[in-house]
Amino acid sequence: MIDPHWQLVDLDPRTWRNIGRFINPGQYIRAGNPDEHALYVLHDDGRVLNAVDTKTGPRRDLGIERVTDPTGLAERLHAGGEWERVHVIDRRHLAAVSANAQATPRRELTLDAHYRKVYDMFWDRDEGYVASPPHPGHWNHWTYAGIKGWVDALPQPASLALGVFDGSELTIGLIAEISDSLIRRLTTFEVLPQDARGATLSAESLERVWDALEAGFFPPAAVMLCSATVFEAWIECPDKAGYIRAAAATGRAYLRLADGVAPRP
Amino acid sequence: MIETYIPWSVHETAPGVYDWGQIDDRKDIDAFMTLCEERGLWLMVRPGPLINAEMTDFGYPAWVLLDPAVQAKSAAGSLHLDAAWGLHPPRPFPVPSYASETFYEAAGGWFDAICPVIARHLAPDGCVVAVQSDNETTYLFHDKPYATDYSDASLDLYRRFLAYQYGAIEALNAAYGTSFRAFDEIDPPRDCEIASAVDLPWHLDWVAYKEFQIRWSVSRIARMLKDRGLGSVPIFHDVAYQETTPHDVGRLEAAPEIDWVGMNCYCNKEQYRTVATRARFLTGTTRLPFVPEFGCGLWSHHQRTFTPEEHEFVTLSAYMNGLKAINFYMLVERERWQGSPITRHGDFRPTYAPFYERLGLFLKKYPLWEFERQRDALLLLNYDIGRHVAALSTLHVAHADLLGLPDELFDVEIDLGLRWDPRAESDPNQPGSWLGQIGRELLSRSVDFDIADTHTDPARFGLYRVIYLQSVDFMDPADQTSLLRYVEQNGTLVVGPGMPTLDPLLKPCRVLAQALDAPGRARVGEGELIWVEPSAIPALLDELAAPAAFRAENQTVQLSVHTRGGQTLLFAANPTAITITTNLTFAGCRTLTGIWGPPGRVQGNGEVAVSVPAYTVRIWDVHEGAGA
Repeated sequence: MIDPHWQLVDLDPRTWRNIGRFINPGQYIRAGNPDEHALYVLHDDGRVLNAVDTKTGPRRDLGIERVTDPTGLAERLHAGGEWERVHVIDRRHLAAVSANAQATPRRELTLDAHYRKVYDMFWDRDEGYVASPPHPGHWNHWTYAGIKGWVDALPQPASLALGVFDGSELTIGLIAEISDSLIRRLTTFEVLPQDARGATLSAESLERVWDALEAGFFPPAAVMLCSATVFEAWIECPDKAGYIRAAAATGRAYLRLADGVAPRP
Repeated sequence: MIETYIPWSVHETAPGVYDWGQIDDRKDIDAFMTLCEERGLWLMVRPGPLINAEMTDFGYPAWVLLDPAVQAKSAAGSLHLDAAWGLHPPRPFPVPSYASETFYEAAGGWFDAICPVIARHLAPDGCVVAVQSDNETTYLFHDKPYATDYSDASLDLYRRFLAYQYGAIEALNAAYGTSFRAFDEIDPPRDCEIASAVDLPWHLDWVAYKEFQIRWSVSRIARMLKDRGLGSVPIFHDVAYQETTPHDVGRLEAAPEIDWVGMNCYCNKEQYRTVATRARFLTGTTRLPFVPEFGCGLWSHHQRTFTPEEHEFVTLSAYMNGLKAINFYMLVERERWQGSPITRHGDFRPTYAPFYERLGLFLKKYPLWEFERQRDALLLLNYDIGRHVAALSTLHVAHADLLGLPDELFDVEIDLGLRWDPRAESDPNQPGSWLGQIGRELLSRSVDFDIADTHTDPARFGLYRVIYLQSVDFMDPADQTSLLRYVEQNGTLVVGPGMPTLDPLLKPCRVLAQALDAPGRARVGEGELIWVEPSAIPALLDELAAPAAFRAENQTVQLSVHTRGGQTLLFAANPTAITITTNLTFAGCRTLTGIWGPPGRVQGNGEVAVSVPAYTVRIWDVHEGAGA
């Protein structure tokens, strides 16, 4: 009744609390992280409007009145060693991003695709938004294109499941159903039959979850069960597939893939 | 009593085509209301037009949103998408302009269809006891002044607003220093272009218009509901969270079409101060301190799912600080919601549901809405300060929030020759804020208070023995006059850090300053006007604040006393992550019987020692003497 194309149901609170940190879209777009000591210089086509130090607040002592070389300015200020990152932002660039992002109703885009376009708009214009060090172009080595390419290559439709365990406790139990490369239904292990819901970090549980997906969801394409430690490292490490292979070899992760599915999102 | 939305897009499946259960029997709203009546349930309904509730397109039909005559516009002339400010899956939609006549025609068609159904079920014969006029009407959360709405319909309404405000174009020209021939020549500011005080009227009028558009539209929708037969039950509105511009709770509630205004609350345990402030603000400002959406469940993209312990701490904190009515929102989980105590299948979540069962039993025994929270002071926010701060800000562009920019980057620093800093005073949570210092000093003495703003109905001022007024160089003369009247009628008004000598446009204006033009005290009529600078606040409060009936030696523990007849309840909240053991001091001998938290009695003469675990509220039933 709510939406014929997208369902988000039966969300186990523990799972949802533990994935909450991934939901903020800004973290995938912005340069830097909230904890770093940074300087932000805002200008209007070269005329400096404001400079703000994230620790001390407005900085009027920097003697910058005009920005003629945003990249050079950011690099010079960063080289001084006072800040971990320096941002030089043209207000007109942000206004242009705003106008372009809202030029049409965007009904053809899912929200993630819309944000991806906004990301491109923020970072694709030279000198509109300059950061030193620059945006790394990925988030913990994850990229939108990489994930989308992996999803596009899945058999369609397909289901995926992820179980993360802290000791014997299931901390994340996620299930996604995908068709036409879009998530159609996202839910949690709360909906699984009792034997699969009580999964542990084991090969037997991997098979039970796989069987449960076969019985009640789109055909399973990938199921991964792992420890919380493995999960955290997998999120952050550069070689995702290699790391999981190594974890599987030592019984800290269990992974089953349908034929032809690549291990690396 | 239960509450439900009635989503427009769910029932009007194509223009003029309605499904009331004939196609999908889950949509039979008439049968639902009949069932409520059979089960003895009262019902509040929220028929929109906006409902949000994380529904696709927030409950607006797509064909309404896609009509160009309906769509709001940004300052740059683009559409205003909901995604501009906030995460609203699954896809963006163009935000409607609440100034668009086409929008009201469409909404009127929806109301023509749904209101007769509701009207058949109005109390007292039927179950429906209240109806909400729209939902969180605030430009879809993009509430900064220069973000939106610059659609033709909105600009037309803006010009009519100016014409009403000024009466004649000559009056506006005199204020603006301009030479417009007619109101329709005026365009609003599209960003902060304030270079000096001369530019203030143009900007502040736009800020005031943004407030007006909300009040105008919520009132209009309420009239539409009343005109369609729903006038015999209260009509209310819910504010999302804004305690200042563009929301003006006091003036919205003063609108004849609106019976009361509530404010929503979704808080984690670390946000005790937000919960307390909201409850005190609603108590100080509104007819019914009510949270129409008190988050039990959370929307699916909320990043910090409540724990069961948070449900308990936040709910009791809200009651403790004055709430009288709570709609436990999404008590039953629904698609796209999470963390509710009851699943969408009707099962109790074992870790979440017991608190609500226990609370229900507790409220039967201790109906907190019948108790009176003890306080005699009001902290008064100066509405004009919020307007100035809003006008003097920039970067109100879509998606700026995604970049994690520091707040100060949005500030426009202009030297207007003011002695006191409106921005520093605007947020009482800031350490340097005068009103914030007053609040902290009162709480350190375990003295409770309410919060309101200068647009609150002045008739309410008389409820308080002392009012602490946040003030800088400027203040609306009419608001000053209301407060002077309060003083004349035996009130005590404490002003700081400054005494206003200007109006909000920075023209000379001495109302309060005529009675007192330097820090100190002056008798005015039956009352007293006091101007106190920050350094003198502690000494003044030692003299002025009524001694608290109970005081916590550890000032981190927050206390509140509620009485009904001869019954006294004492609340103690620990808003920190560690258990606190403290002495509670009082006059005479008292026995405290635990009614929430560990049971049992403690008794003492002048003091008792209590322990309050991290992020918990304890409640005692208090009796004079020993062993009551």
